[in-house]
Amino acid sequence: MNSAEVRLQALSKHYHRVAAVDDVSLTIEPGSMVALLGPSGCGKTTCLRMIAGLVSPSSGDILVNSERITRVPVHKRNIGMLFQNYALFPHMTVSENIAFGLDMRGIGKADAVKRVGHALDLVRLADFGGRFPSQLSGGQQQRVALARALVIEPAVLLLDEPLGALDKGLRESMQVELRALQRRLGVTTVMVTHDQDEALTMADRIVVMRDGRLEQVGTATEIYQRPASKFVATFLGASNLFNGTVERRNGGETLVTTGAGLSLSVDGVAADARDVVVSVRPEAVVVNRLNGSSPPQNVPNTIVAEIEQVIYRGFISHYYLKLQDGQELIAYQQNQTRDVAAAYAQGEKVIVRWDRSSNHVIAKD
Amino acid sequence: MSSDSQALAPASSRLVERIALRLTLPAVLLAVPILVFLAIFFFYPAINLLFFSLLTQDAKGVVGPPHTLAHYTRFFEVDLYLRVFWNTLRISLVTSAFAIVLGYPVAIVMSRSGPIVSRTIALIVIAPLIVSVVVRSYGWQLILVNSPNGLLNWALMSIGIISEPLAILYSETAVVIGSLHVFFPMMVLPLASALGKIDPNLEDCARTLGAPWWKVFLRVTLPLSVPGLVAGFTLVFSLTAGSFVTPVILGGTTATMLGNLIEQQIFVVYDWPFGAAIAMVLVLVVFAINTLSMRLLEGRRFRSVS
Ligand SMILES: Nc1ncnc2c1ncn2[C@@H]1O[C@H](COP(=O)(O)OP(=O)(O)O)[C@@H](O)[C@H]1O
Ligand SMILES: [Mg+2]
Repeated sequence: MNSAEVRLQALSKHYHRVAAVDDVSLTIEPGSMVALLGPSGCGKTTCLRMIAGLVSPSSGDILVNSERITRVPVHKRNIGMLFQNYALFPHMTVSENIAFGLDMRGIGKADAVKRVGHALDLVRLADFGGRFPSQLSGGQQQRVALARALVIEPAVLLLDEPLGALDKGLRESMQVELRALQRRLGVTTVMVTHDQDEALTMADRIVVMRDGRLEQVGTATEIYQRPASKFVATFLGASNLFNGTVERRNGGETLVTTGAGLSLSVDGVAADARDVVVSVRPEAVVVNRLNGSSPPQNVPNTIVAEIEQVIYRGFISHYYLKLQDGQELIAYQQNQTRDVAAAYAQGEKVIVRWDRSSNHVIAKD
Repeated sequence: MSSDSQALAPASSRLVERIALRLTLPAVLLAVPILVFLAIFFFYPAINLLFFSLLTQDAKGVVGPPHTLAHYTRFFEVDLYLRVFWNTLRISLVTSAFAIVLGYPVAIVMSRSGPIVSRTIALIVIAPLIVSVVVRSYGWQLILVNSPNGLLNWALMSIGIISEPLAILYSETAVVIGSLHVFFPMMVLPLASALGKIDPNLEDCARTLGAPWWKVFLRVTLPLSVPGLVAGFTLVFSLTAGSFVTPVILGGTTATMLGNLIEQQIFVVYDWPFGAAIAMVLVLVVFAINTLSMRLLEGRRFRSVS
């Protein structure tokens, strides 16, 4: 399959003056899989439907391989789309469903039969061609929809919450399967999801959206480890956020102090910044007993906290802690021995610390 | 886990059975009044009618044995009666066909619009039912009158489309127009309901697969609306075939229908057995159309398989 590059240029869609999608610019590499991630109502579906041509943009442009398709009608765009409820034609068999797009392209009967068979093999449903959609399970229906979208060899594949209607176990195996198939075919894919795990598992690049705007674009590790905003930091996984002021600069290293008397040594603070937000992921935080010793003074990235609650989650435990000034802190720790988590008493004072490389300065709100 | 669900399955199906059983008795009781009503006022007269159509009427007008099929053979042998029979079929079919063609767009708009527009259209479509058939038919008579000062002729002549007045009144066309007006809602309402049940994503999906709007309609919308189409067709056909007032007022003597023939036989000729035979023919035609429609729908039962 020849891979296409998709470019969105200042794309906007307004409904009665309300922006569903607001000034979105994005380049999607040929053959890559991009996930639009964000809370419900942030404009993901609208974005996807504009690429498909089902919604016409209020302004901006869509380019496929540098060709402007903003005004090209849906049926001439050569785009495969997977709808959230699969949208299989109930009055057609599985084979007829898959052949529909080929038929619309005027592909001859013999060739069509061959390609439908190939598509059925691809989604491992070779024996199901004669069934009607209502005779298939949810997962099978999903695969038929996928075969139908892929058989036309689309320039771009669009997936709207593709796995949302499946139950958890099936969803996870389909994530892996879908991803492997996409890699193998090399079809440029845009996926919409509100599920961070799905985005992290499947996408080469994640586009975090908020209120119709792009919040951050990057790989899974970039987004997770270097969230650009408080919103991203808390939407993808959990984050401990500290508001602090710059205390001292020492070459590339900056010392930031927070209200609770915590000092953080961080890199990459802008030269003129005074007030900064620092995010620390819960899994970076190490919890230790005080063991009667006096708390260390003036050691960066270290502070005394009080245990509020420890939740045992199997191989990890979640520690809910509170700092002196009342700020909450979360720590995830692997359970080394059998009874570590249970050993802490509520209200017990502990010492928490983390590596300075875990401190990440957030650029905006 | 699996043994749990196996144990659960029969338990839940037994529960369903028990609920069903509990529902059966009161449900039957609820249907009793209408069943009794139908038995007395519909099935009994209908069966009576069947017997009447098989009896002989003597010169004094007394109806009794011997049993005979003579009325039926007479109906299908006399040209006049056969012509009325074909008139009836033709008028009903043409009316249904126009109802489909004119009703489909209305039903689409109704099913695709917001609640306000959709309810307004429904109201406009149903409104004619409030006015009696007689009044409506006389209204159409005023419009269609064949003289130059009939509303339609006057309008067409003053814009210069025609120079001679049209003779629409007292023709099949007039009966079709009148019937269409009366039975239009019977087409639009079931159609709109069927169209409303079609998932809009199906049409969007067909478009992304490369179908221009007219192919989306032919391959997706139309086939999925067949249940509504069949229901509407059956209703309009049956009601038109049985109509009596409209052909009298708008059809005159040229577009006589079976209903008028029955009325003549019973109230003018006083030939009750022959009138009954014609009525039976009408019932059979309508019954045949209904059965055919049901068959057509049953062939599509896959849609409800889950
Ligand atoms: N056809 C429409 N008319 C009016 N508002 C709409 C329409 N479609 C979407 N919206 C609004 O646009 C916003 C984004 O919707 P959507 O793209 O569906 O979000 P998401 O897929 O991220 O949940 C929502 O606030 C929604 O209410
Ligand atoms: Mg959505």
